[in-house]
Amino acid sequence: MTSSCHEAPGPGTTAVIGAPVVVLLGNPNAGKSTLFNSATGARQHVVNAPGTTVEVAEGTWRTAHGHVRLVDAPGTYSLVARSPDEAVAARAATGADGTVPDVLVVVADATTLPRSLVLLGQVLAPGTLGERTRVVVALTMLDTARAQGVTLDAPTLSEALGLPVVGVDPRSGAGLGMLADAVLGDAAFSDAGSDDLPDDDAAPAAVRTPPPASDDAPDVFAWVGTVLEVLGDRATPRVRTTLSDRVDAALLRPWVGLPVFGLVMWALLWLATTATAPVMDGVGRLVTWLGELVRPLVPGPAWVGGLVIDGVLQGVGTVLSFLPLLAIVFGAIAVLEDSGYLARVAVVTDRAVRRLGLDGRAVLPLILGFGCNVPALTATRTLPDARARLLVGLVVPMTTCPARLTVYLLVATAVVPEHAATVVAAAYLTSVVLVVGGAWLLRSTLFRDLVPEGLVLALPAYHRPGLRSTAQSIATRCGSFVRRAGTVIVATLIVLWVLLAVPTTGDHAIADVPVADSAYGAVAHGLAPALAPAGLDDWHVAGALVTGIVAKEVVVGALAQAYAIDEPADAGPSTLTEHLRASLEVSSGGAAIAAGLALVVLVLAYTPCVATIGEQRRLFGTRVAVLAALGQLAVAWTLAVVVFQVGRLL
Amino acid sequence: MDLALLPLGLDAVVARVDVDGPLGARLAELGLRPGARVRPTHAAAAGARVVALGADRIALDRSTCGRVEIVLP
Repeated sequence: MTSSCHEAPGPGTTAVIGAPVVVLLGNPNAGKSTLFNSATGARQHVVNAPGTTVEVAEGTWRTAHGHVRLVDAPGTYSLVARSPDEAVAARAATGADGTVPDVLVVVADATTLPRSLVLLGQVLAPGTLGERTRVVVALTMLDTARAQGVTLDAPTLSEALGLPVVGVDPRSGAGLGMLADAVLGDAAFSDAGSDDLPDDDAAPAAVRTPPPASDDAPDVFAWVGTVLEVLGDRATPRVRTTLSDRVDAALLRPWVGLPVFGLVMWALLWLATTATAPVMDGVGRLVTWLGELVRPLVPGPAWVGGLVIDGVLQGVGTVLSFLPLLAIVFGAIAVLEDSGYLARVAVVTDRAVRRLGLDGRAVLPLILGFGCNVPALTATRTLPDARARLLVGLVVPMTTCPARLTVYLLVATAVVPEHAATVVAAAYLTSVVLVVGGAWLLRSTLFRDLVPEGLVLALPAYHRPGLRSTAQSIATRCGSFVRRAGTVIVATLIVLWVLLAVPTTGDHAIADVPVADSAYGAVAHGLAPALAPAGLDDWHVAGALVTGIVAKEVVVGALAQAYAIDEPADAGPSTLTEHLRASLEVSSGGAAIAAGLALVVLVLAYTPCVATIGEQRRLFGTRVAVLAALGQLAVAWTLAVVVFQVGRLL
Repeated sequence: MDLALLPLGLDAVVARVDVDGPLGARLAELGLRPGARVRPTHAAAAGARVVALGADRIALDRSTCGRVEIVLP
């Protein structure tokens, strides 16, 4: 827990050497992460738990007693792990990951206390925690509980459990000072136990002593039952119809829930495309303007300026241009999640994706992918299970983003101008088939452990998302993207610039070389024969496909550059479509239509853009990102070959 | 009688949960154990239901509901 497999604490991170380690443990939606955000503010970062793809947030909590290293473990209902996320939570709590916590703060939701007590009972069982780990309970949602008729308060629960219990409001941060007192051992516990409670000597032994150490779950349940018996009606609200119930009465009906979900998805797609486009373009223009401003100031030969401006600055600009999009999508996802709506999405869409071993929440990233693969990958974090996240993360790049649309239109206009719309529609349909087929194939092979179980999902009450915690979540995740995905993007763009700048034939200066004579041209010439079985043995096409790995938006521009003509202003017939048609006629031996369709399939399915690869690396690690990219390349090549070979026979 | 057949809004007590393995354990951890007082509050898609356990709301698919035996209090 102390370090990531990707990122060791260092400058820019917030690990405090020697500070007490405090782990937050609690049920999902108990307010744990909001509490973490309130306590740490901006002094936090997200890392992957060692050897896993499970994200864990760590941060510094500055208290009146000194700094604390605070760890926000994934939400869990139990220490008996049933998913990688729960295993990480259990290891963080028990110190099995190598860092024994000094204090374990069990975050208990007062509205669902029986559930939280199950986890607390497992924690308190002898032998579960390290000897020096103290347990403190942070009681959240007290206001909501009171509105539901729960009269329980922190001192009463503390009296019943024999543990420090502090009431906190994670959103406002109220109670954090008292929690710090309790965590660092200076708490003055209330001696104002309720008059209704038995005194120490008369209290049931089961309440004063921890549950027995046993693998037998009923022992813990019996202990929970005893505690609840002592607390009486104060802790167990009667069932009453809430506002959430009234909203659910409409939203959970398929004929209301599905259209509403469709509207929410449309709004998210609109945010991810139309709404962010001007901001992304603005950032792009700003970077170009800055580049031209700085270029004359860069000392040394012209190629140094080229490397700095067209390589490094362009790479940084690409990363920055994604930030507005990601910030909006991160924010939207945080709002959907914190509000409690996403859990309802899982219920409404559950049946559709159950056969793939996933639950309904998988629908969100898959639909977002049609807007942009990068935030779609980020949205996989809404899936509670790390294996499910990985499965969805591997098929998200098969969703066709708008950047690929320009290529489909160009190719379709070049080979079948009268049926261009049909080709584009077929590409989108093929994308859906690839997503479903890919998920099914992975589920049947590498993900056989994803057994579709029955739907069992705790539905949190609807909440108004906290502005502060949403902003915190956006800042943390954007920072993580810049650090982890950004490095891949910048490095790739620098490599591409070098390939374009270095002459391999002719008498050219560095950074002043026609594409055909550059290392890029040489690579394209070298790769082209590999595309011959798909009817695409053409260096212009091969080079554009390599450039497309940086961003699909630049494929058309790269083709224009390779043919040494201007990029067309629109998708209609142009000099470029004529050049492309002629190239495909030659490379396919007269089957240009089949080759064109193969090229569409190739662009649809091959290695995603470098920003997507960077995000995959951030979420799942370098090995997975590289293997996924290579796997997609193999799938795309195979499909393109099949399309061409079958197509030319028709 | 099982939970799938209990009319919405009616209270019952869980008599037996015939779900093995991790899913059964998860149901118990969420509070759906013998002796628990339950009330189905909503019907959802494909026969799924939302069940109230005090202030808790748990969504269950039709098959799981059918494996929770209940008795009327």
